[in-house]
Amino acid sequence: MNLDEIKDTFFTECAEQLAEVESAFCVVQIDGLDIENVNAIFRAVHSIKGGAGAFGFSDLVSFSHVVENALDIVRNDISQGTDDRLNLLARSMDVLSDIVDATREDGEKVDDAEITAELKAMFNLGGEDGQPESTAVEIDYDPVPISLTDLDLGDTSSGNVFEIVFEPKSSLYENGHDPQRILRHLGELGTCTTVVDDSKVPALDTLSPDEAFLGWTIKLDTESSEEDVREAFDWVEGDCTLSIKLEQPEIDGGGDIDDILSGLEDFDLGEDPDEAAPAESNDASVEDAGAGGKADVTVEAVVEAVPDEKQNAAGKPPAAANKDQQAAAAKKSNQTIRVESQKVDRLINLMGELVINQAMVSEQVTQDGFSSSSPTALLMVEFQNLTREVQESVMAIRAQPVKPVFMRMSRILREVCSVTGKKAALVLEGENTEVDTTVIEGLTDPLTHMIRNSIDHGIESPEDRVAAGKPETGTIKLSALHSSGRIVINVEDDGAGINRERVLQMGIEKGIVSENADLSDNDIDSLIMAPGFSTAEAVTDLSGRGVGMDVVRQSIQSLGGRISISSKPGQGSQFSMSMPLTLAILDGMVVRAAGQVFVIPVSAVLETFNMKPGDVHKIGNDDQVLKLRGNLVPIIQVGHQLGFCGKQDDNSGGTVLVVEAGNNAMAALLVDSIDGQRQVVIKSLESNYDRVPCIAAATIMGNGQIALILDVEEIIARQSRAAAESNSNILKMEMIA
Amino acid sequence: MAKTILTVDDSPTMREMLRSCLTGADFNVVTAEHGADGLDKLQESQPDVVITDINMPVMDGFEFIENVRQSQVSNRMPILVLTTESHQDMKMRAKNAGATGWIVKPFVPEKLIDAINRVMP
Amino acid sequence: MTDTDFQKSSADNEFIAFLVNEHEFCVDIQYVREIRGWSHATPLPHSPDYVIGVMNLRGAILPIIDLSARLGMSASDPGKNHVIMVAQVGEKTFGILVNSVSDIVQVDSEQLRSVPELNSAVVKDFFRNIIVMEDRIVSEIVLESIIPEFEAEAA
Repeated sequence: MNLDEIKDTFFTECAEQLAEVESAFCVVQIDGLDIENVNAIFRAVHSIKGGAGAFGFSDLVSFSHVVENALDIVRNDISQGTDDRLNLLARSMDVLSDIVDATREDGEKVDDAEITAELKAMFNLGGEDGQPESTAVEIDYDPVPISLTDLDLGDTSSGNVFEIVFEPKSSLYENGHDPQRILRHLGELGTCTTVVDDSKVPALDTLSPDEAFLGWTIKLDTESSEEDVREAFDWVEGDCTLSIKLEQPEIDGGGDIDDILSGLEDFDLGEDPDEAAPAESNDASVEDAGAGGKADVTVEAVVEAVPDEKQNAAGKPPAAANKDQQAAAAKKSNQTIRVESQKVDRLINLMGELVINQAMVSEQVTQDGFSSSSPTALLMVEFQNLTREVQESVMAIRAQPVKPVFMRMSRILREVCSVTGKKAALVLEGENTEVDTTVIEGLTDPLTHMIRNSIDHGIESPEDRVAAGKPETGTIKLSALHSSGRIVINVEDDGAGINRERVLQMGIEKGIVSENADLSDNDIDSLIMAPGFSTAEAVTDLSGRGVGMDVVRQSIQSLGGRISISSKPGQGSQFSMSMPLTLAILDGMVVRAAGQVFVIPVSAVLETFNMKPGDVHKIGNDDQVLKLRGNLVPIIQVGHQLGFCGKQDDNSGGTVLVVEAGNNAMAALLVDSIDGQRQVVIKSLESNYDRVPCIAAATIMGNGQIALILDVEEIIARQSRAAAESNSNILKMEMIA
Repeated sequence: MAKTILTVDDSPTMREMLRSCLTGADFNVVTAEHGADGLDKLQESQPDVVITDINMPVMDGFEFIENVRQSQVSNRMPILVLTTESHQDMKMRAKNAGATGWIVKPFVPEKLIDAINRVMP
Repeated sequence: MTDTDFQKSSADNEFIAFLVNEHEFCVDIQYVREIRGWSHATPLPHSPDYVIGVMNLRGAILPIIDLSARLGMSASDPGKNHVIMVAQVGEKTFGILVNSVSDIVQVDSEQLRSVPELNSAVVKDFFRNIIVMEDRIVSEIVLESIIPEFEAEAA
């Protein structure tokens, strides 16, 4: 893995960590502050700082350092986390996220001066702690021991001779140290003469392998300073008795050094608390005793013995180990594996092939005249069920909770609130609801739009809210749930609701509805999502709702979803979206028109029936409508609309599918026949071709041929445009209704 | 035979940094994501040296080290603590938990290798 | 293909030559993925007349271009006598309907001539080189310009 790849890893990690942070902040916002979430946030920022330091991303290091310091204060005393402070921290996370982005893109430096100042002021991070600590970090980074002694002795070429008395305590071994390494390290500093002191090694029968018995006296002739020598022992401070004496001081500083050294000895903890620990193994090896028995052994010989001592100390009762294992196993239970998404995509593609293949075999079996009760047909049913199950399991692999997208919304909320001066809190529900990643990707934009819209046009100003007897802070509830094989996402606010009078007026002004149209409340609410309703003018003019909702509806529909709206004046509005769980597979109605096979998403179909002569009414010269329970629904001849055949005057005998697009626009699609309903694997036309008007995607049928999946929304929209051109106001009205 | 090093760090970036550094120095590298994972990997891989982060979810570095020190097999394993905490009390806490030594993040590869060689059996 | 391999060393470029309405053209072999027989293509609505439709190529959606129509000649009536050259340009893979594939030719650089200055837009847009061989002259088709230009359709 090269550095660039590690950088990629780092930025992926940053994204994950920031998502964690958002998640924790959301919980804090709803459930109040608790140490667990503060720790999670701290850990995330800490990790980002660590990685950033490794790459020398100094902007990121210095800002995350300030944030970390602020968080540390809250972490140490939760009562320090006042609302103001938490808000500031939340905003800091947004800046942090921006700095991460800027760092990744190599973009313009993010101006964090203001928020840094705010952080320092609010958390009293004055002075050293609050400094962007690039300097401090560099010191951490490269702790080169600058030895004053070295400098003082700079002129002298001859070395020093230190007498080092080194007696490890058992804790030294217990912490994984090995005197051999330390002695070798000293050997690298100069010439060592080492004498081992084995006087404390007891007789074999009383030897406890957990205890330390050996000591060394080393004479070290070196050019290194006393600090360098001391550094060799810095990790074992307290784990040994150590004295370092300079035997041949070259300058008049010997006394001082002695003072330092005696101070060092004072620092020793003296009693080793572990020495009292009972030995649990009695089978000390003969080698141990042998090593202990020899006098004046060389360093090498002693070192031989030490690892043995280590190994023998491993004689704990198995129960202890079992307990460790159990603890580890318990912590392991929620394990995940990371798989490249490409591998999953390949699996899903293959799964698609399998579904198609299964359909082909199935079709062939029927064609070959096997009765439905024949063993072959029964096996086919089993095969079909299995295929479906495997397919669902495979799709589940790619399913992800909507949480990350929901979390992003809390940032949008903060930003819009700070721009508009409104107050709103985001409440999340069902954020662990899972849906295919393709859907998740498509959700971010429409949701962002809706949250913005809800605050901008739904939630009232704090003063207005108070005046209306509502809490000052508005609530926006974002929820997700599974319902009959689809995911339903609701965005609900407790704002002012839709200003119907205004919306209707706008609709008339825009020519979307006729002046004397009789519209239900719901019809009017739905107007805000009608094509052509939102315009630049509307953005500045409209005090109700409606900005860009057309765009939202389009993106939801491109996900195969539908959106509906309900609003109560003074109490708020609710947007409800229902989407398929995956964009890879679709429940489709297979139809024939103009000699071609097409698939219509079942989700769009309201009802189907065969056309009878009296059903059709002509409007003007060209347009035909269907009278359906008092409503007039425009008839769209699919074959003609797609340009495959001319317009037919006689529609009787055809089959009609009444379809609905998200904005409640209805149409009757006229086809030659309906072949049936089945799941189809969605194949993109865009990967090798381009978007095709009126076509959402393609699929491969049982016979291996391609069938096109109709884009109901666009077919209706085209028809509606055509109708508008032929100046039929009534029809336009019906489109909306 | 190449020596094996187990690195325990919740940050994928640090894991990859360490892996990159250490494999470059001809060590075998086994990685774990947190203390509990580290204990599992310790049993599986029998490393020569362990390098662990402190601040980790599930099981932090202190607890991890304590567990290792109490375990049957690897209780005298050299364990280096990799931490951005340069504060003395952090080091002392790690040491009391049983850490062999420490490396202060962000690390310089040479310092890392030096530190490992200081404790490598 | 293998029996022509021995000539490779002497040739700089390899082309696949094919016939469209008795005219011989060729394309650089490195674009061509495979050659397969004709099978049913599903027509696409609102598409240029030279786009016959889409075919199933092992689970991928393969647009088929009628080269005859694309080059301004009469539209083909695709059938069993036609073949599809599957070509890849950039990210897109598509099929080109031709009458038959005639040859794989190795060509030295000196056999390549640039297209003469002619007024015909078709020639300018679609041809890159003229290859002069002993007995015939073959024009090299620029595959990039054969693919339909994708313009964002106003929604």
